[in-house]
Amino acid sequence: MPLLTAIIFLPLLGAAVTALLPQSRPDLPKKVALGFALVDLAVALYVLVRFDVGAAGMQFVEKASWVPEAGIQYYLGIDGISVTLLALSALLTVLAILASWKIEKKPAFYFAMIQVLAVGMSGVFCALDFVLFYVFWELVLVPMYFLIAVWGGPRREYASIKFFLYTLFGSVFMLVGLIALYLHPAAGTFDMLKLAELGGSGAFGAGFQWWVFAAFFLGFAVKVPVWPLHTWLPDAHVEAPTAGSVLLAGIMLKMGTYGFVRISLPMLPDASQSWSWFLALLAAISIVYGAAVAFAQSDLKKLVAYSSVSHMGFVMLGIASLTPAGINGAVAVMVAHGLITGMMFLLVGMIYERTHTRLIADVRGVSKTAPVAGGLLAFAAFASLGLPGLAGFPGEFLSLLGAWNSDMWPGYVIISAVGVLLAAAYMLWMVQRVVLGESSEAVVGITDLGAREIGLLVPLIALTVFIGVYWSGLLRYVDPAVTSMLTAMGAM
Amino acid sequence: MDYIIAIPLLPALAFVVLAPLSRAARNRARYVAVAAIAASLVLSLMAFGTAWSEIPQEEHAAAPSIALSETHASESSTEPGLASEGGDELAEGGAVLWNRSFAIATVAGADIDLGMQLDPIAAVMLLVVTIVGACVQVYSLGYMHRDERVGWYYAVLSLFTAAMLALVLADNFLLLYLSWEIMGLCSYLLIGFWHEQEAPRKASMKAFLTTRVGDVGFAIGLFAMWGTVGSFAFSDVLSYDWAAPAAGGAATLVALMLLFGAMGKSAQVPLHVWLPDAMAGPTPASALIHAATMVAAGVYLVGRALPIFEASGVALSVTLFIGATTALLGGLMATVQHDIKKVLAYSTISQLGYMFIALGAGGLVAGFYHLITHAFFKSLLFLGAGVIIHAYHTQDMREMGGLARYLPWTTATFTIGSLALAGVFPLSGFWSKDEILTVLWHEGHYVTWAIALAAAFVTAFYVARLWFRVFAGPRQSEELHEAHNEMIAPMVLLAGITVVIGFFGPQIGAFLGHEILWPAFSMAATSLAVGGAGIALGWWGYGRRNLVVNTRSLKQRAGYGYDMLANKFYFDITYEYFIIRPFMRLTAGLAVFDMKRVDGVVNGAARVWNSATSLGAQFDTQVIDGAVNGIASLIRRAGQGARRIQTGRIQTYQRLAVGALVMLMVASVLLLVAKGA
Amino acid sequence: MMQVGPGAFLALAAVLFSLGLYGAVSKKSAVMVLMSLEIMAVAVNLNMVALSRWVTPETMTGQFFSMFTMVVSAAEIGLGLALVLAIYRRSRSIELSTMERLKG
Repeated sequence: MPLLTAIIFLPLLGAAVTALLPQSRPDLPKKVALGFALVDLAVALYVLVRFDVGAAGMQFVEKASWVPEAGIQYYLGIDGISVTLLALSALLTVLAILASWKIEKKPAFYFAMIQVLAVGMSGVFCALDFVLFYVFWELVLVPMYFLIAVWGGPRREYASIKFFLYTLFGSVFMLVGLIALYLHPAAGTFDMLKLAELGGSGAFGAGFQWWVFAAFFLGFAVKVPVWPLHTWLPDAHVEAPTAGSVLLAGIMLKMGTYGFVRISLPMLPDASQSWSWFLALLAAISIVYGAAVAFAQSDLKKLVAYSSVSHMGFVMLGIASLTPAGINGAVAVMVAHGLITGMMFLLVGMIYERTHTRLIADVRGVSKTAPVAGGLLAFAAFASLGLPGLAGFPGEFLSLLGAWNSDMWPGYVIISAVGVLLAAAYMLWMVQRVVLGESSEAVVGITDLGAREIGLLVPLIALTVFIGVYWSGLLRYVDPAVTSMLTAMGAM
Repeated sequence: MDYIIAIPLLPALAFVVLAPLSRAARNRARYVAVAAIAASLVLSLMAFGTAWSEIPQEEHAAAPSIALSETHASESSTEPGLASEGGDELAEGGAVLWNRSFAIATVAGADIDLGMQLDPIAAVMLLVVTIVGACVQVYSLGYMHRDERVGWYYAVLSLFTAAMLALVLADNFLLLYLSWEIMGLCSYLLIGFWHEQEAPRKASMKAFLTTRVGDVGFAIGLFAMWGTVGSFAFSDVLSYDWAAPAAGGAATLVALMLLFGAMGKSAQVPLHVWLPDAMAGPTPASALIHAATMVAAGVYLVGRALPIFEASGVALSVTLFIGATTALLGGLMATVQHDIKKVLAYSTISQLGYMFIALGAGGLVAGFYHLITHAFFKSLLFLGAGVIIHAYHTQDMREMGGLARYLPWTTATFTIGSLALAGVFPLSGFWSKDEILTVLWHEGHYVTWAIALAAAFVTAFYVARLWFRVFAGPRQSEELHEAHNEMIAPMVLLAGITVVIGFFGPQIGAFLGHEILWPAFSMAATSLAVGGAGIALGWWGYGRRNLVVNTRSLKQRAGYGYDMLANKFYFDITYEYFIIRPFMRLTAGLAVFDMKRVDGVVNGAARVWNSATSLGAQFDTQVIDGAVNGIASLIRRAGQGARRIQTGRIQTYQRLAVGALVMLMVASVLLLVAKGA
Repeated sequence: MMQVGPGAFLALAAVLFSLGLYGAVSKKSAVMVLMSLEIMAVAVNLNMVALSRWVTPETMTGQFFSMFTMVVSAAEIGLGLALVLAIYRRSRSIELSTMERLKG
């Protein structure tokens, strides 16, 4: 049974159905969308459970000819790295739909867009054909553009166009790299596994690899985003609706780092080695810079956005280390960041719905008036700053551990480790101002979280604790894939 | 012996049960936490009992008064380096009675294990933590009963206890680090428990961040440890040959980084600044976390890793230096505080410095011994301070006095604690402090020995100052009354332990794997004389007259020195001006930079793009649109032209057909010719 | 005696066809155009018979086809003349240049 196809295209069917619903029933789209998303999540969980953890290769493979003249295939498959991200995206889609329960503007279009977004996101993580990958990659842009441009904040047009152009700019370079690989005499295929095999066997010359890596780097680094290509992120986050922020931070950023892990590293192992110092440098800068800028933000969403820049730096650091611990850590940070930042954005959205402001100066003493909201925000903050026992810790720890024990200059690791300290600084300072103390004017009299809202956060909280307490719960999926990839690369 | 797992698990479960409840339900359910710690205490006693009976102990002279001089004199001369040797044997884990571990993750086939073990140190520490923890929780029933969030207080206290118990049971550095950080969280939550006020909020953040500075070092130490040994387990790490050339400078690096972590947690200079501020939290929590257990975790860590320090040598000297500095500076700063809890906090800093001194001299057991005795008498002092604060509704000692006649139980127990802290025979502090002094003397650290003695003098002085201020003189308040029984009982228990534990020194030493000797008479006499002098000076300064002494005279006499002490040696100010404010300015600047410059580049590019596209737009309207329109009109004209062909006359069509035919023929002939060629 | 080859027949047929074609495009009278068409058809028939004689002498395919074509052209002419008569009755003219009602 083509489970992956089902996971990818079920939301598309849902989007079609949602879009065709009668205008007279504005309450229907969200329910239909939720239904489809729940079925999708169920299938994703089934795949997660049936996934053979010990095996390193691709599983649930589906292969069909698509454009035989050019050797383009409809080729899907998942390994341990992608299956976790696939499940995460299915989960966050459900939560994003639930978080948008009160959307009133063009609901059919809105929920159709979220589902199209889900198609692209899960497609990226399943695609094993480069063209297919690229198609899904670009597909994500469109619904996200609309989510920001139609349902965004006051500066939504600026933000959406900036977002669109930035990422399009990146993907153009990716396309160039993709075609360059295809045209290489040794390759002539879009099969990502074959390309990785060729890369591992040294079929591509070092100079060629260097340039292709550069092209891929631009494509992926914009998405991650790596300093200094990050400036679209705060704007996009601030203007996007809550669900958009959740999916943007939770999944879309991971597409960039996933690209590094799935494409740049295995296909271009020599260039990965020679570029690793540069990746590590940018990672260290992203970590410290993102944290420092987050510290000075006055808008809650911007703070979380910059914290994302910082956290994604840990992913990049782990990737740059080219060690099993580092890349395991990188994937763990990806998943953890998806959970924690998702939680963060949901909470900020819930608080915003009540206070109608996101300015830290105006939102004070949330826990005094709404103890559950305040407590959970503090919980998310602690998870985000990498407290052991919560999901943020294992990834950051392993990334740094891998980086320290790799060939890179230890200074990068020390700088990055200082980033852990800064993360504590900006998160605690946020907690101190927003959660603690006496309630400010905007906060007095707000209601605490309702059952729907708490229910929506519970899965995230549970997973955050589960992964934090039992790292293997996540890493047993990831490690075999990482190990086999590094072995194929000759980095181990 | 798998029931040992339940020791940390029970309080953790109490937290899991309490945390999700509503506030009211949580408040009612606080007894769950008390029950959990009580059960942990019982299990710890069982574990300790098993350990005690299984570890072979040598017979020691039972009567301290007889053995005081001769035993020590004879044995110390034969085995001068005993302290460190004993430490080696112990730390290498020769006496592990029980061990369980599981892999929390597998990376490239290598397991990262988390595990627990019971060895003598762990057994003793279990007892310390559970006894003090249980005392504090019972005490808090009375102390916190009016607080509206008492349930949350108990939940966090339980989580803390669980983490601390996991820490002492850890068989590897990773679990130690994990519990270490969770304790940091609990410390944060309890310091900021009354977060409506400004001071606790700020103090909690300061505490978390300052200790995290150390934790960054700790983490780097772990990375280097993994890189060198490939394991975090005590058994692997400590049996690794750190002195071997292969280890390179790794021993020094790992040891110094671990020490840095310990300095943060144990509030050693220069990372001590958070502990006095941490006194903004509830007093019983201070007793447990910021006096007895968590702050001692740094000592515990260094003690566990002592073989690495010894392989390095440099790290050992650094430990000694840090400890000596802290012991003296902490004591000095305690002498000018007016807040009773801050006096105790600085005292804690100073005493922790003492423990570091012991470790730096290689005296593992001496350090642990002091840790144990200090845990009991310092928590006793904090609990007593809690009663005093309740009685006076202030923490300022200048507004206190004359308590001795009104609160007999508190006075008695507090006095025992004070005398133990001052090192007065035969209370527990005397024995452990003398043990440290002995180790220093035998290891030849004479300068440090002198500093330690000076610190002992200062300690005795501020203890006397505190005691006379609070208990002597005329009373300052009308409504003084003794505390509830549930507050008195734990204090009495702790006081009892403080009185008797010193007499079991040799047994404890034997249990921990190294003989603790009765102090040599000369050493004991010296320390007693110094302590007595300190107390005398305190009495002279604050106890002589039956009136509240203002500090002006001392200020005038000490002058610049007093300013320095009152400003806490300028640590806070230095950090404020050279780290925190520049950091704030930097971040604000960076944020602007990010908006204006980095983003500006992008927006600039966008502007260039915009002007390019507006050019493009003109190009569009004029050239491309023109082209499109042109084509349209071309087609129109062509249509009109074609229309003219449609004459309707047969013969016109015929002519066209013939013309076309001819053209086709010509074309085909040409093609044929071309093909032929 | 002079040997007559297929080239002579084909040349004659080409001449006939050209004459017919010229008449068809240049004559004003519809009847003349019809006659010219007949000449073109005759040229085709001649070609068919000649080629049949030299290319496939054993069969008579060409001759048979010519017979059919002649019958069909006779019918055609009958129909054409009937049409011309009908047009003449309507417009009193058989000049082709006046017939332009199909003009687009």
